[in-house]
Amino acid sequence: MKTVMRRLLVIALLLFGSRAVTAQTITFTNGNGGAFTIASAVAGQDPTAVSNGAGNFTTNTKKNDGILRIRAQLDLPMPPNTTLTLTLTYPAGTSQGPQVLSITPVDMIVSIPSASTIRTGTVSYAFTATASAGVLAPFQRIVTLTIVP
Amino acid sequence: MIAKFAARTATALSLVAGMAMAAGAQTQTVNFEVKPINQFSITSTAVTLTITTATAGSDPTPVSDATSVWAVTTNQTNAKISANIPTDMPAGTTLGVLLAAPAGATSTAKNLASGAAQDLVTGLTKVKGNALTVTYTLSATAAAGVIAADSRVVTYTMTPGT
Repeated sequence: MKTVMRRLLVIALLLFGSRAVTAQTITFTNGNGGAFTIASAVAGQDPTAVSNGAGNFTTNTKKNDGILRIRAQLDLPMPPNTTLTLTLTYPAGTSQGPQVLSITPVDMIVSIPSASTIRTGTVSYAFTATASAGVLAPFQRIVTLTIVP
Repeated sequence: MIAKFAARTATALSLVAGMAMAAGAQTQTVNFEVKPINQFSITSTAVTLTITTATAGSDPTPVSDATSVWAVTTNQTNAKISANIPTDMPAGTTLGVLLAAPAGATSTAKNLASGAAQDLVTGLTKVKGNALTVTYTLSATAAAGVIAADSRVVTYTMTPGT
């Protein structure tokens, strides 16, 4: 019985290990998404939003990965009356356009066809705050991109 | 024994699955800050107020103008708007001003004078307001007599909150 179990374990490791090797990967080219400081407004309007281009990301996919999607989420909710909007451009699949990020994963790019290739996309963020948000001391959020079936 | 191996197998599979998930995820840190913001504006069109009538037995009839508007944005607490004029109005006349207040703020009509600015809107707290009416009122008593065309520049000041 012990030998059988060991063999099963080895087989299982080989099977799942091979999935890990061929699994799709996604990588930001820059671990810092930038600094966003809102400091002005037009009288009568909410404070002026700020945005930037935060660089690129790359994906490495394999043909047997199947149809994939890229999702994004935050580690913590944004403060009340503020938003962080992420826009990704990507040479494959269907973009879902700018998406307001939260702690719930949101689809950014869907229907990415399977292919053994490396693709590069761009990342940009927009930060908004209403007058109701008040003054906010510096804080940070961690954005996670995932590429999943 | 079987249970023991099953547990080990499950642990090993979890680790491998974790490796696969981590391979498809990547993080990026984003930094934010919102600084104190206090902005206001008033349409700068000149206003003309002319007193020409009276009811017999009463002082001349005051005239008002409400064609100007103002706007404000603040993300602080208890900001205020005040105003003054560089020289006092002629004897027997007053120039009053009333700013419509945005939500949550308090507006008080004041007669303008030189010297210390008069508080017109207080309690401006994390608010924006647009196209808010500015009402000027010119009053004159009979004792003021006839006054040739004159003007005053009204200076508004926004004091940030906290």
